Amino acid sequence: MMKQNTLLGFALLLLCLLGVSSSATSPGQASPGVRVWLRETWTVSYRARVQGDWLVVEVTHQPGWHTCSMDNVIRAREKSGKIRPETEIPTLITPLDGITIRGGWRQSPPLDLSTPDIRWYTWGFEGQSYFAVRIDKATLPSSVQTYA
Amino acid sequence: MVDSLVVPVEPSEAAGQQWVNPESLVAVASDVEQEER
Repeated sequence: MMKQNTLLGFALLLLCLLGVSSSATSPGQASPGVRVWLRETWTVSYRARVQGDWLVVEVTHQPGWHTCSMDNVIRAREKSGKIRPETEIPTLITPLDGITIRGGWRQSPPLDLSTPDIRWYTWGFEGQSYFAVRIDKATLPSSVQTYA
Repeated sequence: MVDSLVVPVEPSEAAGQQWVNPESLVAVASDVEQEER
């Protein structure tokens, strides 16, 4: 997850990669879901459920924070023309328990959070966003693992 | 990876109304699709 100010993104990404930010807890809050904290700041929360034959993941961002689209690197590659563009790490969601996925993931339409002046191309989500994928209901998951 | 966490899947009986219509979401581009263009 990244702070909205893209110019600070580089520094924050570095902080994240150094492991300063990683802390996923839910210390007794009334609202359900798994919350991600950056030190004392609640940044984003995740919930997951099965709707029909879809596995749906809901992401709620606190003001000023965003996470990236699943296809962020592909989008940045197309926009920049570079095979390895400088961009943010895409969201990755992995259903656990050996669940069978049918087809590809879908996501809320991502926002263009790019800063073309510095050739920094990135797409992501603010507020509330969703990811969904069709699953084989014979293998219902009990949890999913997210990376963002 | 920046943050990794495990999110429990809520029981379907507690679901109530759906969060979102999955059909309204957009497909995630894949490397395979990109190679086909």
